[in-house]
Formats: sequence, C-alpha cells, structure tokens
Amino acid sequence: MSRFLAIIRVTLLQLVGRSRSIGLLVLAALPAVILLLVGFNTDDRDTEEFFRTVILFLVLGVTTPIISIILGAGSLGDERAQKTISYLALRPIRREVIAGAKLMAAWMASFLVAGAGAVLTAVALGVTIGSWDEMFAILVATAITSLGFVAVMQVVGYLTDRAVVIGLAYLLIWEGIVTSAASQVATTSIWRMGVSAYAGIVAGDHWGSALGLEAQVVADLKDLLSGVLPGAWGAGCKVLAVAVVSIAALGVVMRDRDLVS
Amino acid sequence: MTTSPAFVANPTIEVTEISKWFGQKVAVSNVSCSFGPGITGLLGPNGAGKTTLLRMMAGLIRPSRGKLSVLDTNPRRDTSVFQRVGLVPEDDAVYEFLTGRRFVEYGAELAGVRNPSTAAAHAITAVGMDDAAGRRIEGYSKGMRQRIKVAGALVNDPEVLYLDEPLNGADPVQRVRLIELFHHLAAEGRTVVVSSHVLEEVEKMANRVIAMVDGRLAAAGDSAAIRAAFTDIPYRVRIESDTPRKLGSALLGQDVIRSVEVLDDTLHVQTEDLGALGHLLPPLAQSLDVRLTMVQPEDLSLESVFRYLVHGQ
Repeated sequence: MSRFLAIIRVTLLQLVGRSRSIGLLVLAALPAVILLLVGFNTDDRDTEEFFRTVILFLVLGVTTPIISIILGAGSLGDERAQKTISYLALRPIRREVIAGAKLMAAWMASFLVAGAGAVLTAVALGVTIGSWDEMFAILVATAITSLGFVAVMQVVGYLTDRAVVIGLAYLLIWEGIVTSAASQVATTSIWRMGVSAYAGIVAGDHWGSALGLEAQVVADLKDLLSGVLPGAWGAGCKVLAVAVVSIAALGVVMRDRDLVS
Repeated sequence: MTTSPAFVANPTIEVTEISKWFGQKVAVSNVSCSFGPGITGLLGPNGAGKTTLLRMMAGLIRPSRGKLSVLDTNPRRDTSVFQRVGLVPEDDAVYEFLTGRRFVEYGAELAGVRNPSTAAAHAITAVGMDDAAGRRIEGYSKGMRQRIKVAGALVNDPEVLYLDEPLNGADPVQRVRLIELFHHLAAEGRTVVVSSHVLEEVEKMANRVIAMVDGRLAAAGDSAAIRAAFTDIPYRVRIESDTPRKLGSALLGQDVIRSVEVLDDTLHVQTEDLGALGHLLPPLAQSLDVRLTMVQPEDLSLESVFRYLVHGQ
C-alpha cells in the first residue's frame, strides 16, 4: 500500500507542475466565465437552459475531456518522455500496481482541476439564478467523465508520444461525431457516461423528475444520450470497467514491450 | 563454458546467445557472457551495444532472441528480483521537481525498504551529497545528478548494480570518490557492471573487461590483457614537412617504424610505439635539416582500435 501511495504522491507533483496547472485551471474556469457573461444579460429561464448546455457540452464534453486527456496521457507518458520510467519500473512492484497508482493519481489531478471548473460553473449559475440543486450531479458527472478519459489516455500515453493529439482527435471524431451520428455505438461514448450520470441524478434513473425538470429538458437529455439510459450507478460501473481494462492492458504492455526505446 | 574469458565461475548474471534488434537495426548480436561478484567493465565505442546489453540485463528491454538470467531469475518475468538489483542509467532519469533526498527516499519506498528515510540518508552519504540533498534536483549540476542517481540505485542495498557511464559529468574529485565507492561495493561481494567508452576509466574501475563493438563481443579478459591488446595496435601518424621523401627514407630504417607512405607530399607512417616515434622524430628532422610543419596521429579513435581488435585492420 505504501508503494501505491508513494507513486500517487510523486505522480500528483509530476502532473500538476506550475505552468501546466495554470493552463488547465484557466481552461477549467472558462465555462463559468462564459456563463457569468451571458447570465447577466438574459432572463432566468434562458439562463437555466444555457447553463445546461454549458454543463453538458462545454464542461462534460470539452473542458473535462481535454483536461483528462492531457493528464491521463502524461501519467505514464511523462515517465517515458523524461526517462524516469526506469527508476519506477525497476522496482519490485507488479506492473498492475504501477498502472493502478498512476491511474488513480491522474484521475485525482484531473478531477481536482476539472471539478474546480465544474464547481465554479455551478456557482456561476447559483449566483445568476439562485439555484444550487445540481452541484452534486455536476461533480459526479465530472468525476465519471474524467475517470473514463484518463483510463483510456493512460494507455495511449504509454504507447505513443503523440497521445494528446490522438486524444483530441478521438474526442472530436469519435465522441463528437461518430457516437452522435450512430446510436448503436453511443454506449461506448465516455462523454455520454458522464451525461448519463448527470441525467440519472437530476431526472431519476427512469426519467422521473427528481428535481422537477420540465418535459422539454427531459426530452433534450434523452435526445443527447441517444438511447443510453440515465443512471449514475450504471455510468460509474461502466467507467470502472474501462479503468480495470486499462490497468490490465498496461500490465500486459509493460511486461511484454520494452520499457525504454 | 567457464574456460572462455567471457565467462566466470560463479555467475550472478548469465547471458546466453542474446540478440536485440530495433526494426532493421541490430543493436546486439548473439552475445554470450557472464558476470560475477566484483567489477566488470563493459567497454566499447558509442553505438557498440553496451547500453542495450545493460538494459536487457536490467530488464528494461526484452531480448529479441536468447536467454538471460539475473540471480537465477528472468527479470522480465519476475519483478521480485528488482529488490536485489540497482541501475544507474545513462539518461538524465531524475524527477527534477523533487529534492535529492526525496528522490532517493522515493526509490526506497518503491523498493519496499523498511525505513526509507534512514536508507536514503545512508545512500546520500555514500555518494557525498549530504549538503545538497535538501535542494531540488532541477538546480543540480550534471555531476550531482549522476551522484544522486547512484544514491537512488544504492538505496535498496542491491546485490547486482548496473552503472551506465556513471562518471559522465563528474569532476575529477567526484570521479575518484565514485570509483572508490564502486570498489568498496565490489569488495562487499556485489556484482557491479560498469559500461564506459573510455578505456582509462574502465581500467581504474574494473579488473575484468568485456569489450563490445558493432553489437558483438570483441574481447574479454582482465584489464591488463585488454590494455596489452590495445598497445599492440599499429598507429598511423600523418607528418607534414618541407621535404617528405627525405624524411621518409630516413624513417624507414628505424626499428619503431612499420611502414612509410608518401601521399600528396604528406608522410603517412605506421608505428606500434607512438611514444618512441615522438622521441625519435624531432632530433631526426633536425639532423636532416627538415622542417616539420605538422605531426598528427590518425585514426586514434576508440572505434578504430576496436575495429582493429575485431577485424584486424
């Protein structure tokens, strides 16, 4: 356990370096800034609708994924790029433990930054229209989205030094276009796992109206999820499965491939 | 197998017909040798395959072919062997944002050492880094980085220690101290494998040398035997003067000269004893009233020396 925690501690310091963390925090705060700028110029109903758009598309669909892509790719990618992988890997530790600790650290860093942005966004909404009900749902959705992207990107980051470019292309093409156009593959979308968790909390797992959502809002959410059922537990289980597969895959890759080039 | 100088009687590391290629490039080709307690120098010019062999032995990269055993274990299959192994890589493999002390402590934590702080303190003292251990590594000089890497490798008290160009960047005082440390570790019965492209450096550290060139094992034996092989190599010397033919004729009669050739008004002389030629040439030129404008050894790189050892040319 102490090895696991030691890796987490050092990885957190490695990932959240000064210049990188400033850049990512600015990115995370962007939705809140946009919301505040727009919120003061519209009435409550428009703002609430705009808020949902900002949360679902900008926070869960853009800023959280980008932050998670960068930090996920860096968790093991930085070790390879900076050649410190030999210091880490030539120790009596199972490869899966290294992968697990790295994933945990990257997720914590990602959630810390993206979650701060999500909280700022919720606060911006609260300040604008006085509603604080959705803060919990936003944070859970952000946590789920960031875990999914970090898990995928950790493997990509280990395998290639162009991981961030590949991750952004994946976000745009697969998450943005393919899974929106083809409902058959929508269940594989990490973004929709986050949206599903959000919908599960705000609308209920069976599209009830836990927070008294209007019918139009529920219809919009259904449309966005493209057949994916709402539910925080279901979404949580899915990303956990992605994380387990990521750890197992990295264990195999670290054993069978050269650790340095 | 132990009759060949490439093998030792009680090996801790056994390398059997090992090869490694990266795409079309063969980095190590069919090398067999073994290592035991004491210091063994892995000598060869840049690109000879030393680092690749060392990395395979350390378990960082997988052999394309052949077998490898470290402390009776395959390091690619069983990570528990890393409890007993340490590596100082050639790369600048340090966490720059950590202090030297934290870096070494982290190594101890990863190795599962019972008291990481104490183990780190001992390792830091051993490399003489006590004063700078509280500073961030990003502010360290190259030599300090080398020493903190050595401390990081020593922190788990390894039985087998791999050192890839460990004296790079170290100043003369630090070199002496590090060499003393390596001797001390070897005297305790540890297997220390040191890679270097500098013969003099290897001679100071290792009593046994394995020389590599072009990915193959070129020579093996004790340092004295390797040095003797080196001194038998004929050197080419380029001599420029106002009357090359006159000087060339006079040189031909000297014992230390193996051959003389005049090309484009320049003398190209082969000798087995550079020092003797150095003593002979000035008085000879003076007596012949020849003005020397340049005397320059040709082809004295370690690569050419190794090429001679392998190909005899």
